[in-house]
Amino acid sequence: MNSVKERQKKNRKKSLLDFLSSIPLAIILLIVIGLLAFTGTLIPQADIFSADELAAYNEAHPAISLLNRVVSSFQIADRDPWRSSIYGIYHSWWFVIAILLLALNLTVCSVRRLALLKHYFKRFDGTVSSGAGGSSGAGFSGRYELGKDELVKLVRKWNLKGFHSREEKETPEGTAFRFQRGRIGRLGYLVVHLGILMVIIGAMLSSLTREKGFVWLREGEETDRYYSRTADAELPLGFSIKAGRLRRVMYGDGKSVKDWYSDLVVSRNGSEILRKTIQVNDPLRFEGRSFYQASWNYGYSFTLKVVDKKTVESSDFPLSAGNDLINIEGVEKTYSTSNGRVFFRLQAFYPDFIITEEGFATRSQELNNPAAVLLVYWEGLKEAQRKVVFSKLPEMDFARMHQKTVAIEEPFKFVLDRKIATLDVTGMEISSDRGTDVVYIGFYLVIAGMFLTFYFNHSRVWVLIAPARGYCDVRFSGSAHRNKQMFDKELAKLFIGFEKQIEEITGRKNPGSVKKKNIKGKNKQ
Amino acid sequence: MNGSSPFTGDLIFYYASTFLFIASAALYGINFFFKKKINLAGRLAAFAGFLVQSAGMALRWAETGQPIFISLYEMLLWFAWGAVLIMLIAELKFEYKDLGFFVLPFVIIIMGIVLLMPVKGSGAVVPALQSVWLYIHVAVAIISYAAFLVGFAAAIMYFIKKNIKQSWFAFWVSVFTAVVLLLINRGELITGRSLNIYLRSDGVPRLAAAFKDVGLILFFAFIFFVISSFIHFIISIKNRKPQFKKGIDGIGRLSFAAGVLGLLAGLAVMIFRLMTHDFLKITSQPAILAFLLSALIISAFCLLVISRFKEFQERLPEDDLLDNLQYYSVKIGFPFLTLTIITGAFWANKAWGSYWGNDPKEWAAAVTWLVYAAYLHMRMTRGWSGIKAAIILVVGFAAVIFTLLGVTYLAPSGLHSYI
Repeated sequence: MNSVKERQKKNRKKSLLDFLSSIPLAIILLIVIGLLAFTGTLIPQADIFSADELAAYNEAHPAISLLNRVVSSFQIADRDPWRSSIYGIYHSWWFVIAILLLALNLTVCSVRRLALLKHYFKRFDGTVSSGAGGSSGAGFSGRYELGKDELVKLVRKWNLKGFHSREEKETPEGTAFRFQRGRIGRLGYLVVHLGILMVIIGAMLSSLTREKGFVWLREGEETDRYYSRTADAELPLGFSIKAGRLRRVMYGDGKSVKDWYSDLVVSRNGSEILRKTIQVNDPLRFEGRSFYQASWNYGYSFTLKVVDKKTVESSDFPLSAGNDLINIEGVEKTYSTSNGRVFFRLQAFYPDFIITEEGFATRSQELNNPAAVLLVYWEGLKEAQRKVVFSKLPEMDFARMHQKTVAIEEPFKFVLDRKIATLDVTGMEISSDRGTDVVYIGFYLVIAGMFLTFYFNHSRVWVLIAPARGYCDVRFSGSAHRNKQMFDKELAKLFIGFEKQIEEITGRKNPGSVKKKNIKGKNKQ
Repeated sequence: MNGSSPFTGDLIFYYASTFLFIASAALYGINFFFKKKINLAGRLAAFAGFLVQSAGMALRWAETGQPIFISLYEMLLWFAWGAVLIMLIAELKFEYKDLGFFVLPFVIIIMGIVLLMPVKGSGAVVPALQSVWLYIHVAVAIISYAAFLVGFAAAIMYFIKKNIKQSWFAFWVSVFTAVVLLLINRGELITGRSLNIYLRSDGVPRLAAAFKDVGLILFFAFIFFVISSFIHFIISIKNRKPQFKKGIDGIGRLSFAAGVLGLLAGLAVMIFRLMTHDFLKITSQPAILAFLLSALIISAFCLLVISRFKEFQERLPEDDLLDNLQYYSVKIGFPFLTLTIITGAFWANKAWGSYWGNDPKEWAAAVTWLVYAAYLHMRMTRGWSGIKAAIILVVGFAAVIFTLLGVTYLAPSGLHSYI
């Protein structure tokens, strides 16, 4: 009773193992993962698209929106709600589970097939494969009126192309030889599977440890902090990084960028550690973090003067602005005049000011008509007023021109200093990822394994020289892992060559004509 | 290069190579059917086309002074080039002389799209593309895709040889063609019975012309293909009385043939209308023309197959050779696809800071890889090898086309915005 149960249990265990290591399971998993991944290429994913874009897409496609509601209902919540929806397929638990199952499948399968593999790496015990049937292609045999020693010597002298391994063994039947080529190819699939496993492990490690951030640096600026996108917070780097010279090289047309270069200096506690010029495709790496040239912006530094009309005293406010990178909302200044205090805020800076239908804009990045847009409030005014200050037209009061009635003469005026410096700003993507190296090792293994699998075809040739009275029977057989038809031809050629050699020794045509056979099995590959 | 008008001095070479490929396909066809001893003529013509195309591409490379791996236009040139190269190598390796007959129609479709593309430029080599990885990544991708095209052709040959019902061929091709016609202008061609030509101005498509006659012809072609797919489906699945089958088989074939004729007529009239139009040019509607051209060549080839099925079966080599041919293509294509993905990952890590960005094109390539991995495993499994594995090979090639073209047009844009 007990033993039956145990056996059943054992059988169940075995059948589960069989199932887990089976190739059909691998095929099904490959297809399922393929289908899921394919869906992810058709529906925009949160990895690439912003929340607004996804929301718009969701609204425009009611069918997918409905599907999404179904999918989201059994999804584990994520910090980013879009990731736990149909717009985050690659982060969903079912996608991860399918991949983990594949990893399990190929692990169990590889381990179980190790025993089979051992068979190919055993020493030659003198067993000669029959040639016909089994996994082999063809076999030949002949009977020759020559001594055994002579024939053995002949076979020993063979210099078969690619067959570097020759083994010889005396058996009761006679002398047996085994020639082998490309045995290492048998290991190919194992190496590929190990590689894929490493890639999966590395990818999991990446998804747990990957950190992405960003930093903007002006020429000469130094920072020891960066914005972490992963944590959505400003974090310390642990060292400081300084931007030296920044260069931008344009194509001949002057419009498209050819390359950006940023000279970077890494230092800690004031002492320089590392110096490198980065460009796109050539990042700086330091302590597990990489700095990639990712963006570029053009900024300007200039001085705004506020002049007290009464006392003609002035005060300088050094400011800087870029397109969208430097947060100019925060630049808020106060100035006390003889007639009450003035508050102003820099709203925008245009190097080449122009008014379009949509409002203020810049014609180019060149300093052709620099203008600063300010929001001004002083105690004598009822409400804040927008002012445009031109460096080339200091007397022009934009706000006045557009107002029909001017209530009060302001006791101050703004002047934009003519000395304006351009300021390039380099944007660098910062990333650290502990999985990358593991994935890379996996990649190398996959490449090596495929090379072994596809370009090393394990082929074996057996020769048995069996002595009898006055003659010897020589049996040729062979087996190839792949491309058996080609190997059959090779084996036939080998046999013909062998007969030719005997012809030369004996001087007789068709030396083995006593008995000759050609066994040819039907084979694939 | 950038900003000025694109270099087109090499275009004449591609017209010449396309002509040679068409001639070569015809010679291969004659040899296939009539067993005339002109088998080498087809191969020589294909080789000549290959050389002419190589010369054109070399000229392009020299004249533009930048790697010619940038635009889709250049990628398709390479795709056709690689497919012919691998086809010729496979013919020599397998000592088989008719492969070109099955591969060249697809090469001609690719070249047709190349010649129809309105923008024959190369685009600027933006900073992210300035890397030695560009050469490696694209070169291995071309070899892989080209090998898969040859494998796809071998799979079709295998189906014919393995006696897949002709009605299944007719059914699938009818469905394919009907869907292509349905997709044109998002169904407008069929619902409105008019081929509307839209031109983009300021990013907004605006109606430039409405070809009612082309629309009507193509609408009828669509109806015929729908009838054909319906009838061929019934023939394929139901074991009705043979007499009944014989009766509707004729109707099915007639409607299929009528559909092919309709496609041909529609395409011809459309080209005529475009050429004689005031401001439209033949390159004004590359996508629609490419769709129609592909549908026409594929359905016409299918018509030839189903009408002379027995001859095809007789003249195709033994199924072992066809199976080997499929495996050979995957043996080349799969490692190179793996290298494409891996070099892409290396490059992405250098340029953007992560080896994988969940970009649609990355995943499309991964899907292709998974499909071919499934093929390799199916081939070792009893009961799954043979026809089933060959079907997976067809799916795999569809994934290749999706990766190369489909992602750019169907999927939301990602990192591979250039190609």
